[in-house]
Amino acid sequence: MMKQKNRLHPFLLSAVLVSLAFCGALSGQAQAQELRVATAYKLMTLDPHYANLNENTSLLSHIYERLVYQDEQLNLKPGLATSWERLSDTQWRFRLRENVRFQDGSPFTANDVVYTIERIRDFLKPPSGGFQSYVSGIKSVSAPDPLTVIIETKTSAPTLPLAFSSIFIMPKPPVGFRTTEELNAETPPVGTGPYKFAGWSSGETLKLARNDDYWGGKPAWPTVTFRVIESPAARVAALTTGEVDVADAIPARDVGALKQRGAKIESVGAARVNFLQFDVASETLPGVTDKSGEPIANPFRNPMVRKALAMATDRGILTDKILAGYGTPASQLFPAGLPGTSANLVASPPKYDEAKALLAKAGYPDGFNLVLAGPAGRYPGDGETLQAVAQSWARIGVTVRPIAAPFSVFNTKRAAGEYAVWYGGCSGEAVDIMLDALLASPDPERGTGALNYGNYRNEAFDKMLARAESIREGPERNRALADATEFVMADQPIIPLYHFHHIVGHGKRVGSYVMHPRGWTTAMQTLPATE
Amino acid sequence: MKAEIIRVLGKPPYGPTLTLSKIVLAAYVLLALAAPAIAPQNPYDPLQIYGWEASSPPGTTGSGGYIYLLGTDGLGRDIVSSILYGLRISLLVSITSAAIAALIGLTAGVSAAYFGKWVDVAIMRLVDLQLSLPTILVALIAIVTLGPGIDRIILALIIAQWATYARVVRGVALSETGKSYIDAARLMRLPTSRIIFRHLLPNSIAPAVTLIPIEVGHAVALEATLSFLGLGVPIDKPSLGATVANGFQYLLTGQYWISLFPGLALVGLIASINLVGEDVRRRLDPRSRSI
Repeated sequence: MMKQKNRLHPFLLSAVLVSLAFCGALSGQAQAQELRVATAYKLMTLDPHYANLNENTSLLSHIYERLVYQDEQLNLKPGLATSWERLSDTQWRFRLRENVRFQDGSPFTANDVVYTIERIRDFLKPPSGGFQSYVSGIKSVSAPDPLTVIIETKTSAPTLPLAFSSIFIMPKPPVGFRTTEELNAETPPVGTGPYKFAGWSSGETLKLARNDDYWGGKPAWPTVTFRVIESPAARVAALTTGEVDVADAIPARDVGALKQRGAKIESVGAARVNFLQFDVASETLPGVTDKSGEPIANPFRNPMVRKALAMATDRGILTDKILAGYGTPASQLFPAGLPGTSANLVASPPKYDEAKALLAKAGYPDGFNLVLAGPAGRYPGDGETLQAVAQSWARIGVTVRPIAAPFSVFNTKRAAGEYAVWYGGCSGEAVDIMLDALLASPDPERGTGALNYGNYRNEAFDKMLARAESIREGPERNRALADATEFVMADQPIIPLYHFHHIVGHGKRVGSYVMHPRGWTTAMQTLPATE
Repeated sequence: MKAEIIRVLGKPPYGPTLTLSKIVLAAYVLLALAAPAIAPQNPYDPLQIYGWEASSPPGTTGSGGYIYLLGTDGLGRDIVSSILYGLRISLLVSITSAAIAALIGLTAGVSAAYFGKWVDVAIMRLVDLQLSLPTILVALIAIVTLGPGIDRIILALIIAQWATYARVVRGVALSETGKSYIDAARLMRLPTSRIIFRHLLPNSIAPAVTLIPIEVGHAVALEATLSFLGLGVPIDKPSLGATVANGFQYLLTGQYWISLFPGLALVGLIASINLVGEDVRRRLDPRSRSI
């Protein structure tokens, strides 16, 4: 019986493969060897709750898993939880997957979920790398049986499952809590994921081995090596020479040459936006002067000025020229079509004459001078965008002095209020999370306005957003979010510029690579090619 | 380095090579001075740039009504105009910094020689320390500390270059200090400043002056290096080095013109300054007057 099974298995597999190949799909193969990936994401730690950044989460997602995950359309799918149910306004029940084992052999149970939540909420130093906001609304969490978790929230939390798409589940140790130092130094990280930790040299490589007992079936690659290569040119070169099979964050301008050399390119619109943000609160602003160089009162408090500048921004140059087509002009926070976006908001080509008239109406017929700040080399096209915007705005008399600084410097100065108007980026699991962070009034208690550095306050919008967020997942909630977005964008607190595309290139040993708007680079998205 | 190259080439630059480099250098200076009048576009004025014409290959006709003879860069700046305006920055930065560095180095070197004792020790150990580090490293540290801006680049280059002058001048001034005319001046109780500036300095100045043209060449290369590394000049006012750097990221894409032409202009500039500088040095420095 056993023997027969063993003989049947490869046969079945090849039958599946043949049918897949006939379907025109790209397929997997039996003798796949090592997968080598060049990634821009520089893993900082082995603690999955150290910082909520793609740098960490992308690579650690091989080892650790979440209760739920988002598919390519950002819809929630069962992960370690098979189902979830809202028992009341403030109570959720999660049913957990059976027969899941951690990589050290211990079973995965509800206690591990409780431990994970408590580690983030109570043990780690706030803000727990940014994860705390997901669990701070949780009043209590309990495990009535090994496969059930009951979560009690302080207030109504209709999107609690979404929060769990960002939280990696760790095994509960016999006593106490694991510290970040312990996880980095002593013990190899243990999760339920498809790949096991095999070695890590800080900031250089992460080695992974297949988890043969994975509940979701045998993973495609026996071993996976991630090499951190931060320079885009070096990543492109590594892919060109065949040193690696997959390279992420490919600059758009290199796509043509890579294709010529036989690499395959995949891309997807990122679930994020890059935008210009104004300081709308301060009385005066550094670098904002009239044409003779005399400081003037903050012009961005006037919505007409913000709208005139938005109208005079040529997003086409940014997406078609600077991003070489690998970007979509933005008029809201998520690319249109994703849940919670409005179909009525369309990025229109620049209207310089109208913009100039509006600026005159706002009291600036001659325009004014400003300093536009931005990070250098953080996002695709960031430095060039500053200069392209300067070209656009010059056409309505607004003289821009662009300054690009390293992200750390930029970030510090932005938080310190040293900029008048700046280029920024924001991403999130759902559009309401981004609306909360970017446009809602800053309110530490509600956890809103974390990225609202411009101090924009709009009570009517806050109310609309809060109402939308109280609605349960579904078309009604999405419509309410879209309405709130339309309402706030009419006031133009920010100028959305573009949604850049994540671009990944792969070589011949990889059959297919499935892109995800969150922008992680994983072996799970990679299928081997058939020889 | 220059001396070596000349030795390798077999001959000092007399005749046609020297004449040619003089003509080329004169042309560079004239072009730089006349840039606003002859450049088809002011690449520092966003109103004159058409973003939609970014990355046009050489020979494309632009909306401005002129032909992009050497193409445009990734933001639509005309390469010809970028070279002309970049030359201005390169020459301004290098000449200013070399001149000021010479002045500072001269004063420091002469003071060290004249006062001796702890003044000499203090100044010369500082010089030793600085000369033991590569010039580019000193310039890098300086520009990172000072922050961006053309004035900061000039300052960084002065910091990186003054020590060379001080070292050379101190040696000469030391031998001059021992001569009888300085003793005579001291016996006449002339004020120290007068002895230094009216007697010692003029007699020690020759070797420093011969250094200036060569250091100008250095400064051009240093400025280009700093700009290439993204330090120094503002992003909307690229110098030659910054333009080469901007184009560098497009090299793989086949848009060779963004880097290539500014790079060639830079090579021509540095080569002609060095050749002419070598000639100036030969004429001024009696020790190297051969035949």
